[in-house]
Amino acid sequence: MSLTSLVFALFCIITIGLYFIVNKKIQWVILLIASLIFLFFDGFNPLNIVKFLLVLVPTYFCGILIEKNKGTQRAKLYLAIGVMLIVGQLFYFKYTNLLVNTINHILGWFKCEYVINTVQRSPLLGISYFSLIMISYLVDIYNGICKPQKNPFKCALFMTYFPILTSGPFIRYNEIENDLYGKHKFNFSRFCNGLIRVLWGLFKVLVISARCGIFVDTVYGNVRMYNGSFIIIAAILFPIQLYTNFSGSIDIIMGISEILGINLPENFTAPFFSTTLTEFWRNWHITLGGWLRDYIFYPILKSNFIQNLTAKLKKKFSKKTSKKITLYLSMLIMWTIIGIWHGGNYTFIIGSGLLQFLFMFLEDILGPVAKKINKKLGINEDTFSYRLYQRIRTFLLFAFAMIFFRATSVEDALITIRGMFRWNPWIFFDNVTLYVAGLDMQDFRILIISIIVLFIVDSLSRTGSVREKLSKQNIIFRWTILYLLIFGIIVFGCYGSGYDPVAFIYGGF
Amino acid sequence: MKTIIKKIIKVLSFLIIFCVLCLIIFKVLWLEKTEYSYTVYDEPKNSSDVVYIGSSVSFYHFNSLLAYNEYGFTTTFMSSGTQPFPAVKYLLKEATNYQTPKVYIIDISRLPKDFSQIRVQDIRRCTDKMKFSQNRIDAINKCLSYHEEIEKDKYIEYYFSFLIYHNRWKKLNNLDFSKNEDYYKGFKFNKRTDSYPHEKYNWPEEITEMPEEKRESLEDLINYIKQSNLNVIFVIPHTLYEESELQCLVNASYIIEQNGLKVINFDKLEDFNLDYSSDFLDKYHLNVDGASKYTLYFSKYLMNNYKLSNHKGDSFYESWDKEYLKFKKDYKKVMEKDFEEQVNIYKEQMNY
Repeated sequence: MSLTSLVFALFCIITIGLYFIVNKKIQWVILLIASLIFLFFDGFNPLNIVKFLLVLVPTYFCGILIEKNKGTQRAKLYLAIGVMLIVGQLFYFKYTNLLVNTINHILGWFKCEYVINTVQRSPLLGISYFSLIMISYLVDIYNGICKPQKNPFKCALFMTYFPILTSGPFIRYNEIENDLYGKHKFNFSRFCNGLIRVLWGLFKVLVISARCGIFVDTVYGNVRMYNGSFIIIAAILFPIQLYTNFSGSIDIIMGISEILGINLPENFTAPFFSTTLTEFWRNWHITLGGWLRDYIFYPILKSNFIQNLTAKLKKKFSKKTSKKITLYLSMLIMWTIIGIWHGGNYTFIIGSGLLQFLFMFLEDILGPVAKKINKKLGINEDTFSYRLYQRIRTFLLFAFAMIFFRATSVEDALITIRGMFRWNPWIFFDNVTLYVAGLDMQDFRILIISIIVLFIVDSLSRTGSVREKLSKQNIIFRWTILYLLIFGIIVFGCYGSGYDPVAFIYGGF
Repeated sequence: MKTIIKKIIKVLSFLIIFCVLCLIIFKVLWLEKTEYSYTVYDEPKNSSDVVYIGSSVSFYHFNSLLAYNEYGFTTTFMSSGTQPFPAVKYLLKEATNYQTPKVYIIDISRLPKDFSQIRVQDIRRCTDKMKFSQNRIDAINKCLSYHEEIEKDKYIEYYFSFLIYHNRWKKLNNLDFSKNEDYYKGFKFNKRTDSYPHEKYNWPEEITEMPEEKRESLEDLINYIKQSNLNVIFVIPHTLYEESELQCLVNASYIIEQNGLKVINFDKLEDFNLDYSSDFLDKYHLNVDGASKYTLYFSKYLMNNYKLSNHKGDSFYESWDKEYLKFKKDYKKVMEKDFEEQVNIYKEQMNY
């Protein structure tokens, strides 16, 4: 069920209606029923229930057993069992082919003719999300951050809360417990605020992301035909497509949750205004970053292996250098995991993992050098123009890495990069060529205006809630903005038969 | 309490403005006005003497204002460009809910076309203007039943037409923002002249077997007409036919006549002096002057055979007089000649 479909809108209206009509004690039951319908809606298959129980049952029992055996080795054992079962099914459904391809590659190096066939698996919707959420649930119980949920149905709701199944954000049990199972009265201003957020999300997805997608898909779909300026535009548009698609769907999810009285953690804070890639990743998919920091990065840093390695390195290097080396090693492991999480494909591992690590590593190493050079050349870093340069640089580094992320294979990514350097700037001037890749002149105009609006809103959001700022304006201005937003979506949105269905890029992860 | 009332007023005001804006925007973005004529809905209930159902040839060929001016009877349309023939029964059914004319005219020029080649836009043009009802759903389903390529999950777009038409913002022109400027009681005024590629067709004499789906569709329509006891004339208008289509129309005429109904093949008539080099706007449609000749001939036939009422001078039909004057004025402006003088010339040529 697509977040921008009429069916989803109807589904939400019914769910929200029932949620506020029923006895407040059973509001969570409505959410659970809605979540299960959402989970099993798309091509119902009884096997999906088995897949679903395969995660729910071990997590539920392991949670209770960890709590029961707190402070003992058994708790650790139950944690290990729980995590392994979750990771196991995640690996089985999503990463078997990555392993098969890797083995085939290795066999190929040894000129072995034997090839293992890849397998088709159909993972449950949102598997990458709820798997990580359930791991954090078990680890938090183990660490005493939260108590296990005794009611298996409530535990199932935590795992399957429907708005977050397609695109996140990652929730932590202790942060959401009260909201998820609590009693909520209908609140008019919360309803309006939630609705505005949903509309803003729809604008991002339907007007900007889907329009960028038309051009990007056309160019990336035939990188041997389109080259030079076409690829440069596609490479610039893809991060915008990704951002508006992902953050737009998060806005829809957050807006619906806000109406229901459930506060979810923010996932984006104007990432394209970041001056470094490190800062960028603090503002992009924040909850994934937080999850990886707490459940991967810190445990690695604190692990015996890294501690021992630091101690060994200290004998050869200075204390600072040895710490840096182990820090980079931990970062490399974490970024590789991020790449793998995005999908069982090398393009993801390179694009959203290794290249991101490489750029951050270079930023860290070369940052002090650049500062010294700037000082010597008398370049003032505390100016708008310098910050703008840093923002553009960060965007371009991210966009470059995303070429791998978007490409269908590493070979295609390399062809794309090579094709970028073909000289054809005339496509901007001959009034015809630019418009053969799916978007005509009117579409480009709408796209440019929408992106400007997006940047204005993101810029305003850096100094506080835009909705709060809007609510302080006069009613005429406020309503004009809202009508423009609503009719902007209705008229300029890419939906219906004229366009391809709006696919949620992050829904696939 | 005061705050609640204030909130309710605010919400209602917001929604009312929203609905008004929706109506305006939806109307502007709706189907191009040149592609349909559904005046059956526009005229007061049961005020129409003739209802014309068919493809674009109906509203390009029959000038309802000229017929009114000559004989005082009113004609309304239920017509759309490339109207799928399987929908005709449902359009006829729809028309009977709004008008009780003395005679229905059904254009069968689309019957020979391959039903499996009915395009999405043909169905949309035909059914989007129909009022929401079970009959409309049946019409859509009937047309789609011949069409294997239309994805079933896109059915929803036939009921929420804006899912399609919002995308028309790129094609908007001044006509979309005008208020009934080209209305003319359903007739489409076009002055363009293009040469017609054919003179007369060689109509086959023999009756052969008709493809099953076409025969079934036609018989279904005839059965409905007989059951409902309606006066219907089937017409084969002047338009471009492929050789293979002529046989189908001859067969259809035979079936219609066998069932005791009337069919007129206008291509076989010699009576109204159509000039093939100047009376067509393209290879399918008559222009405004060709339409005058056709209307003069056909309206006289209707008047003589169906005892239609003359409403001229009746204040209830004042809008027809006004619209005729407007048309006459526009004709003079566009064609740089007087419409009535021109009509008189045609009458003389036709020994009217």
